[in-house]
Amino acid sequence: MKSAWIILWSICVLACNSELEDPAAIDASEHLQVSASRTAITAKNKTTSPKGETTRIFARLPKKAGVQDVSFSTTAGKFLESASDDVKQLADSVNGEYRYAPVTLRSDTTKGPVYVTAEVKSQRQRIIINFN
Amino acid sequence: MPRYLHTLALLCLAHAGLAQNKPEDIEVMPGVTMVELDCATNTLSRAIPYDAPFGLILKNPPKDVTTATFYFGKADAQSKLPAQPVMTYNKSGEAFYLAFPKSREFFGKDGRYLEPNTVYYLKIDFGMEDPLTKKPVLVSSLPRSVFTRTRMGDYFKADFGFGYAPNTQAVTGNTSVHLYLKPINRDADLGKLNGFGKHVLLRSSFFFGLSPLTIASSTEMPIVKLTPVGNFIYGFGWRSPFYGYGGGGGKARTFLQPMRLTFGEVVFKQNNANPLVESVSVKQAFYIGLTYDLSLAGLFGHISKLTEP
Repeated sequence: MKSAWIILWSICVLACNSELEDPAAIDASEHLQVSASRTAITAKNKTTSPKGETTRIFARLPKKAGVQDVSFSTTAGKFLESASDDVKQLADSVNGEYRYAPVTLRSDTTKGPVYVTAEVKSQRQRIIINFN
Repeated sequence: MPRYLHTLALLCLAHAGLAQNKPEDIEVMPGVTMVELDCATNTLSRAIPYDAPFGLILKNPPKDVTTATFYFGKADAQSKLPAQPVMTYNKSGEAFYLAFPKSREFFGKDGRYLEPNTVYYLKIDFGMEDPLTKKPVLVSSLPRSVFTRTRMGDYFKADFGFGYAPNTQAVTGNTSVHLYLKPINRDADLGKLNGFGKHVLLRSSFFFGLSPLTIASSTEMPIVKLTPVGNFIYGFGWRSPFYGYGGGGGKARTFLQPMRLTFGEVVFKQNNANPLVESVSVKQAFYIGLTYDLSLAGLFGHISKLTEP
């Protein structure tokens, strides 16, 4: 009986080895992701788009990251939420295994690619919106 | 005066004190625990050791007796004790002295030392020679039982040492407490014990402890201590891994018997590798360690034995 306890204990000890934390092993879906409802919008002009067009941009975080502030910035256009080229939004909208922080970008007269960057802690992610 | 010289002086005094207790003309076997039996009060100076040889010194024997005949056996087999005495020793100086350096002198058939937590029966017949007939005459008899008592501490042994966890490539300093299923007598020579089962039980242990020191590690995410005093460790220990399989004795025992090979798990914490997630998870990694009995008194004792001829 005593020997059985020893063998059982030995098996338990030798069988357990946790998987260690490794940044390289983290799935891409667990990182910060940015997406847009439209990646090409019309630039502001007097004839076709006097106010400019808007696109909805989402920053997505894994749900287990908790509610966090996401900082957005853009190289052109303005965010409706702040009426400026940067804004801070709370990622408090939960859908499935993810949290979302949404912002709305309105185009200005600039034409060409516009870089919108989202930043949380040390992670940054960028998306290109074309102002045509 | 440096502190180590002070300690050394104390050790020498203790050694000299032990030597003075030795009866004259009698050579005390090294490694044999001496137990004094006061015949006047029928009391023992200390508990009879188990799993190890011991010697009996009779103090205050009855006057004028010249021989002491010993009968010894398990108490439950008292009625089956041999009709012939185990040994007869003559008086030497002022004390009778009987040493049992080898278990075989006691239990010729099973070749084992006294078992722990067992009651034994001891009877000593004192005799003298009849001046007329020149034949031995029984003068008095001293029966008593002796108990190889164990303490709770005999099941728990502390140690310290180092370990290596291949998974984390970490070298750690550990201290732990081992739990044995059989009581451990540190004075017992593992090399002189018989029986495969006994060897397994006297060598194997379960342990729990702390790893307060991580000397080096190589992980993608740093290791975080589980508690402020260190990481938790647990596992399986094998005592004296390099000693006593084919006989014992010798000075190698001094350093090899207190050694212990340990196989266990070190439990620690790691920050989540995802910088977005602020969480700490508990991990464990297998490690192999080499430890040494944490007994400074015992260590000094062993060192003093090395100086014996």
